[in-house]
Amino acid sequence: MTAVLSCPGCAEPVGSGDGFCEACGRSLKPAPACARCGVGTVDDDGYCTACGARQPGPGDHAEVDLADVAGVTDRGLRHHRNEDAMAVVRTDGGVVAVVCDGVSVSPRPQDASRLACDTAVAVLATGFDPPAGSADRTDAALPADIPLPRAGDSAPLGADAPLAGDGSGADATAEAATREAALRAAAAVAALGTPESAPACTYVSALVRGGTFTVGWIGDSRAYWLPADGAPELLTVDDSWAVEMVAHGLMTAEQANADRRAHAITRWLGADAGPVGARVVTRSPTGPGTLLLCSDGLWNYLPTAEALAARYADLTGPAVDRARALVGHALAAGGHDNITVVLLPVPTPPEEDPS
Amino acid sequence: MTEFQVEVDQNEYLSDGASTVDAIATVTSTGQASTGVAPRAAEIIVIDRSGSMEYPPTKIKAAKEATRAAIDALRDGTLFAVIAGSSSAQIVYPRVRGLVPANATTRDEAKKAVQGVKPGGGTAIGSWLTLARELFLPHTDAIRHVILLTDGKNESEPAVDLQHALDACAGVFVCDARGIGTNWVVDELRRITTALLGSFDIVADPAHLKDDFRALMTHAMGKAHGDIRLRLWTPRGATVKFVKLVAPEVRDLTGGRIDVSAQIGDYPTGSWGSERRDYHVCVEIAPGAVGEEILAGRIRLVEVAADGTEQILGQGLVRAVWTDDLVLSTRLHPSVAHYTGQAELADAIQEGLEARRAGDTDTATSKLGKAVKLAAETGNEATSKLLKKVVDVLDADTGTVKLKPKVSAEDEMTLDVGSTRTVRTNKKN
Repeated sequence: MTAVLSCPGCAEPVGSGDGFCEACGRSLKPAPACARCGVGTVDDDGYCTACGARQPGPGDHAEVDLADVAGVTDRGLRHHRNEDAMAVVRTDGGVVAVVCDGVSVSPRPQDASRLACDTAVAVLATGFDPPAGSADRTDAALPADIPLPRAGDSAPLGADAPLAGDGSGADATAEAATREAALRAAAAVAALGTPESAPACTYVSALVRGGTFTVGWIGDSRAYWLPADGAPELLTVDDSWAVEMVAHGLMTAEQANADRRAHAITRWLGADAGPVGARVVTRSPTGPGTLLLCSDGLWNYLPTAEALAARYADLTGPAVDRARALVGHALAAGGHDNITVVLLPVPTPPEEDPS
Repeated sequence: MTEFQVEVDQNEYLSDGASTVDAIATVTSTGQASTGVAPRAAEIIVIDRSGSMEYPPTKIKAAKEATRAAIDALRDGTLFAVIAGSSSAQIVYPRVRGLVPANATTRDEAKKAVQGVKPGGGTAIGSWLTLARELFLPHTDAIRHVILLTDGKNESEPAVDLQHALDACAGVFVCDARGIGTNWVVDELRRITTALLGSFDIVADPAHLKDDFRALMTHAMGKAHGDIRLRLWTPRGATVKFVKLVAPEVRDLTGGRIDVSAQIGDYPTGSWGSERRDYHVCVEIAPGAVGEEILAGRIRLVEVAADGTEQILGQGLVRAVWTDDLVLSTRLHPSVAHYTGQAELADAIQEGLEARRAGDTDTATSKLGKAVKLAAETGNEATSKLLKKVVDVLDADTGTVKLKPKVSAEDEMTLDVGSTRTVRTNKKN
């Protein structure tokens, strides 16, 4: 016997085994229980019907597990939502990833970071692998009306080491795609707002292929190189007040970092940011290692490459466990900000064939 | 169709351990009731015919003239009746017990009947309202409204009778009241119209009554929704500290709560045309941890039809987010601050006038001084002006005042009546 039931949304009769109401499309699955009190259920606005607690949203804690490639993002303990976003996509022979951190004082920062990630990763994934037959055109996947900066133009501020790339076509393509991805992400985020009301975020991207990787950034989200052997390295230079004060010789690093404005960012993506381009670094290290992207929710607790590398060296197990452990480190230390960590092995091991 | 909008203004950030959440909900209704199909309305005009209405005789004359003007303002088809009240209540029109639809003939008959009303007897307002309730009872599908006029104190029935009548009439009809002359009691009309969700005012000069009644009736004819309720959901264990109407006037609705469930209560708001009203909701909840977000209240506007069916017209969320950022948590929302000041202003005036009547000069001076200061701070010019007829203002900024030795009854009552009228925050015109 099938019990006679009606849809709670439109009162149409529905079967007891139905997943959805055929009349109005409403889900007929029982609402999930509250994650806080366990008594109430989750209402349409995402709050508990009993205790009122806002339920963890899809972005509050998210993980990407692509075998040796992994990313974890978490709301942290002191913010009421996760304004960080990440995107990680495997490509033919490599991987691309983007981490963005929404600017808390801007409106809808979570929308800015999400859109920037999605926009940029699409460019990085497709722009890197030109369609077959047009391999001789380095900018095949990019619109012809946007002038592309050339690899030779790049003079990354603060990146003292000369470009490690060999200037080959592959490197130029990677850097062009990195710049283009940031430009498109910046344009998309700018289109979300007006100069008076501008959703905003920071940005760091990575494009790995073979033993070479290219990093691009705007703001204070960071990339670290953690080699299996040798000295770890902070690849990015924060676009922050403290760094600029020191760069212009106005303060010592100690003075600048002690100022309450130290962490204020000087470049970001948003309608109030003006035109911004990514600063770009390419490396072809001699040995294997891990390229780590993160938001300041992690590096605030492990600021130097040495501290981060020391913590990372203790970690074992699958990549997603190691990423979780780093997020756990930030949570244990106070979790004052949203935390995002992405781990990209270089070179990228092939994904295991599930068959 | 009329469209309702609910907007919530608040500072959702609370400091660690804080438990009180304040929010201002602005409800705006725009547009007309479906064109052509006017909502069914039922109107009863209740006029005082007690003996005092003849002293001076201009009062009863003005009351009749005003009633005729109100009858002329009835829309065709509106069900209506006229009641005259003294120590008991009598139906002046129609001749059969009940309501009749307005048309040229019934309007003429009613106006003639009003002409024949003779003053005499006392004042028992509870009995007048009870009769109005009986006449309305069969007409559950209509928007029901009473215009009540009195010139005196409710002294021909025990006070408890009036309270019983109010309890029985609440939810059956909305009542706007007018006091003519200066021998009626402000608190009495305030109590009646608070229970029956209407306005009240003083008409000291009988000559102004006609225009006032016509305006009241025209306003009543613009109401498109009869029974609208503010429905408040709160989390388990929460306490609703208060629900107040704060604009266009202050009225505490907390006591009018109808429990829907343990966590949900309805606060009747009466009938609505195209208008805007602001409500201040204050909820006490168990403090959450820093970083947690709790829904502290869900405010819904619900229309309840005669057959009990409900329609949700709008919704707003009251949130609480605990933070250790003091810059965020110590900011009082300007709308909350503004209306808290306006509510304090109304209290200060009423308490000040009561102390003045009791001969307690010190309390009266201090309360009315506070009122002068609050009125100046919140930009309530109308109230500032009324206050100046009762006190000499030495310094508005500090609230330094001196009671005027002689104050007319009209000025005192006008200030008392006007004490609950508020000015809006100018955020959204």
